[in-house]
Parts: sequence; C-alpha cells; structure tokens
Amino acid sequence: MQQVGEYPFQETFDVLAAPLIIIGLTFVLYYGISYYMKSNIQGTDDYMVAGRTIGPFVNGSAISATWESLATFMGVIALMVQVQIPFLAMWTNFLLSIPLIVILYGQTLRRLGSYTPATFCKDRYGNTMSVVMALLIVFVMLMYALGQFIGLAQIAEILFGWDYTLSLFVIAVLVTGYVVIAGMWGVSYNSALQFWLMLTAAFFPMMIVLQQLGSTGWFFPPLGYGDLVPEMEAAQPGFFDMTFDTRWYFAMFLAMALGPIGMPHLAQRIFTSRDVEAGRKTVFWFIFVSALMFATVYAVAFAGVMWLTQEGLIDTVDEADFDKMIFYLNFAFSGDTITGYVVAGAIAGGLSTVSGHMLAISAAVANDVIEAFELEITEDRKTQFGYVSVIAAGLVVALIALSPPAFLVVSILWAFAISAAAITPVIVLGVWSARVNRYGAIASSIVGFVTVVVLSPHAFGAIGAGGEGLTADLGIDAIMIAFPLSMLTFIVVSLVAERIDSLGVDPESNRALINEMHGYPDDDVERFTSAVPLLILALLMLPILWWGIQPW
Amino acid sequence: MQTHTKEALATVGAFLALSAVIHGGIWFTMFGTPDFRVLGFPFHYFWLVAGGPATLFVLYWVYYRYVTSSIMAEKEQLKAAADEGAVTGEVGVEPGDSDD
Repeated sequence: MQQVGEYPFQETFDVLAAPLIIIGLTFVLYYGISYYMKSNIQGTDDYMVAGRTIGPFVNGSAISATWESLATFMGVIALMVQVQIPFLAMWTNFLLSIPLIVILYGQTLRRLGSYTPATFCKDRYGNTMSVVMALLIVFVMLMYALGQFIGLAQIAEILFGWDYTLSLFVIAVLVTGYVVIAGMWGVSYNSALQFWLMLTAAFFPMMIVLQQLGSTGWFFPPLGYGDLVPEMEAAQPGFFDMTFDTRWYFAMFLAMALGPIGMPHLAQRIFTSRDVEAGRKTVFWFIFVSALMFATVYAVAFAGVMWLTQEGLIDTVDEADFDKMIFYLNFAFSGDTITGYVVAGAIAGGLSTVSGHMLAISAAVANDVIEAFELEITEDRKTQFGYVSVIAAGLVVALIALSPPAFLVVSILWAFAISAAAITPVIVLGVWSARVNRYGAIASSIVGFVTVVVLSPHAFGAIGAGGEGLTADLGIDAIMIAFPLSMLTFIVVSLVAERIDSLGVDPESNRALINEMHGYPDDDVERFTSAVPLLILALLMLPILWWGIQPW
Repeated sequence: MQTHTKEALATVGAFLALSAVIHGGIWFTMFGTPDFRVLGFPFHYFWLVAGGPATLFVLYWVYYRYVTSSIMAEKEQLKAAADEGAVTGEVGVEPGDSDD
C-alpha cells in the first residue's frame, strides 16, 4: 500500500466538515432507531429474532445489507478490478445462497421456531451436536466479523487520521452499543435502512461518474455502460475473459453458494419473519435489491478500470489500494461531500454485517449453550446473558483485530469454506432425511472442519490441496475435498450407526419432529425415511472427491 | 405420489434449476462464451450481471407458486384428515405450528 499523496489524484478528504456531518447523522439515525425499538424487547424471542414480526420488504433489504457487508464497497470492487469476470461469477454464486437457505431449511426451521441452526441441532441431534454447532457458529462468525471490524477501523483511520487501535475501539464501542440497545429489532430495521443507504451511495454517485466517462446510459448505472465496452476491450483485451478452468468455477459453487447456506447470521434473518409465508416472500425482495446493488458495484469496478486506463494510471496503483477504488472515483468526479455519502454507505455495509454476526454469536452462546447444558434460568436472565454475549463478542473481535492473523484478508472466504463443509450438510440433510443421526452429524462436522483447516494454506503451509494461485490463496481449493468427505462421512456413519444396536439409533424417534418442521400432521405416516436419496448423494460425492484430489 | 415426495422433488428440482442458471461460469468454460451482445455487453458478462439474477427471480417464483398453492393445500388437507381421524385432547399449538 502506498502512502497517501503518492498518486496523481485525490486520495483522501480535503475538507472534512460535510462528510463528518453526513456520517454523524447516519449514526444518530441508527441509534435513534435502536432506542425507539428498545421498548419492544420483552424477552429472548424479541432480542434474538425480533419477536418474529419482520415483513418481507424490510427483511429482504436487511438480509441484503447483512449479506453484502463492507466488502461490497471495498473488497468486491478491488477483486473485480484484479480478477475481473471470474470474480463476477464467484459473487453471482453468492447470490444463490439466500434462496437456497429458504428452500432447503429456512422455512422448516422458521416453522419449528428455532433461534439458530444450533437450536435445530439440539432438537434433531441432541445436546452434544448442539454444542459442536454453537462452537462452529462462534468460530465462523468471529472469522467473518474480524474482516468487517478491521475494514471499518481502516475507514476511520483514513477519515480522521486516528491511529489504528483507537479507530478499532471506537468502532467496536459504536457497533456494540447499538446492537446491545435493541437486539434484533433495532438491527433488522437499521439493516434495512443501511441497505438503502448503501444502494443510493453506490447508485447516484455512479451516474455522475459514468456521465463524465462519456456513457450515454449514465442514468442507469447497473446496465447503462454498455457503450463503453468497445473502448474497454481495446484498452484491456482480457477484461471479459473467463480465465480459469471449469473446476475453479465448481469450487466456487461449493464455497460461495453452499458455504453461506450454513451461515447463522443469514439464516437467523429468515427466522425473524412474521410467518413462513413472509420468509418465502423475503427471497423476492432479496434477489431484486441485491441484484441491483451488485450490478451497480460491478459498474463501479468497470468504471474504475476505465478511468485508470484513460488516465494511464492502471499499472501505477498498488493492488492493495484497489480496495479504495470507489472513493478514488468519487473524489475524482464528485468531490468531498458526495464521497462523504459514499463512505457513509460503506460504513453502513460494515455495520449491518457485523451486527448480524454479533447477534448470531450472542444467540449461540446465550441460548444454545444454556439450553444444551439445561441450565435453569429465568427468561429475563437469559436476555441479560444475550446482552453480555454481544458485549463480549465485540470485545473479543476487537482484541483479535488488534493483532490480526496473516490470513485475515481471506478470513471471510475461509469462513465460507468451513461453513460449507462443517455446517451446511448437518443442517440440510437433518431437515430432509430421517435417516441421518447424531453420530453422522458429529463425525461430519469434525471431518469437514479439520479437513478445511489442514488443507487450507493458512494453518499448515506445507500441506495443501488443489493448485497454486487465487483459489489456493483464498483457501477455497480445500473445499473440493472437504465437502464431499464431510458428506460421505455423514451418510456412511449415520447408516452404519443404525445397524449397531448398542448405539440405540431409532429413525422413528425423529418422526414427530420431521413432521412438525415440514408442516405435516403427526399421523404415524413415515416421511423422508428412505436411504436411497442418501446413497445416491454419497455416490455423487465420489467423483467430486476424485476431481478435488487431482493436481490442478 | 405422496405430498412429502412431491415436496422433496420440488426442492431438489428448484435447487438444481437455480444452481444451473446461476452457474454460468461452469457452462461458459465448458461450452465457450456465446458470440453476441446484449445492451452492448458480451452475452456471458450480461448473463452474470443481470440475466442470471433475473432468471433466478423467475424460477424462484415458479417454485413459490407450486409450494404455496399445491403443496401447502395438500398439507392442509392432511392436517384436516388427521384432526378428523384422531382426538388428541391437545389444546392450543406449539410455537410456529400455525404459522403457515
């Protein structure tokens, strides 16, 4: 990363007053909403899942903001600039996650009244798996939140000129404060507002940028820059190349589509829906608003490359500084005030995501661990424990962020890989098959987690999977082995355990739960009890595993 | 076909269909990128930016219509039949039971 002032364009604010007022006003609004919503909290249900009252539009917007995060304004644009089309394909995979959450388990777990996937694991697999799942949730959420905290602290560092540590703790206090005040009520409505702030902060300033770049479709940034394509192709002939081979895109599917399915902070949003029907309708709003946001962000990346190419600066900007492309563009074309609004949008993205992480950690610790150990405590005490968990989560993330691990840049994608291998199979198969059981679930989660950790380049450098290059650096190659291995373990161990009398596995014992979660009457009819789909799934995993262990 | 089998097949079908439209990256690397443009963009770029998400929306709508009309109606009939066939003595519902 270069020092500020080394590029021949504006890199930071010349006049801070207007940006500070804009950013300050957004925080006043967030705290105002949280304070207003505080009176709604009467118990754990209100604190963890907003009393299950959130409608499709608010929820669709809130999920979108939580899902997009600060990375949309910084990391996504940087990777689009560097990796180009393949990264676009990677991010489109991500879009698939929310519809798949709803289809595969969101509606069933909402019907069951779960707070988190770990609550479901307690009902479905028992206390041990519930604790394993709660620990996985905390680990994955910490990995994910870490990147957001550091990104937010870096923005504060750039904006105010504070040192990193001070920026980090100010951010930690601000975020923890508004999450503690109103729990999921305030976070849901704040996240919905934050989404629209993010969209307008990306969309409207891009109209100005595209107009000045000479695009005739400047009034609709998501798809309005097609007339600049020939110029881009002349200047950057490889911009539209697919670059990588099929396996790369398949690995992306496993990590970027199946990973987020297991992410509790996304699933928890579906559990806040006022009913199952509202949960299903949420997907429509999510797809619409998220697609609009991402198409706009791709336009930012396109415009960034275009502008730097036109100025002859594309090779002079340090790779690490591509994170700030959206700010550079707006400084160059729109000035300090509008860039202040863009920064407010970026902060909104970080806040919405990290607040979701903190609530997921809080729910896992304050609800699932307490229930797993069957502690007898009052509802009030449980809610208070939720508050304490949020504060503790904020503190822990801030302390880890003080001295971030070397793999921090890719910690989010690493979290996706762990989620895909250790969390998603346990939840999805638990919903759709009465034949899987606790022995398979525990073995699968452990195998999935350990395989990702061992094979990723971040833990043991000497042991790896796949090849060199981007996916190896991102730790995503490991998923081609970890996911099929986890699925095979789950299915084989579950079916073998059934045949060992001393383990006492009885698929019949799940019947009432399976019927209830799918909305069927408890009428003695066996449902989802065939082993055939599991065996077919296990067979499908074999070629994927074989493909994964081949040299790339 | 029993309702839960239809529901499971609809879920698998939706999963495969949604995954197939979104995974343009896999198709384009297997079969090459089409040589035509939409709104000035190479087709594969347009598909990843807008075509795929728009098709995702439509396919999800098809799934939603099927589940909310056909499957949910059959579940209601099953519940009604079970209520008629058995006197459980149960009063009230568990959290979430009547949410549909």
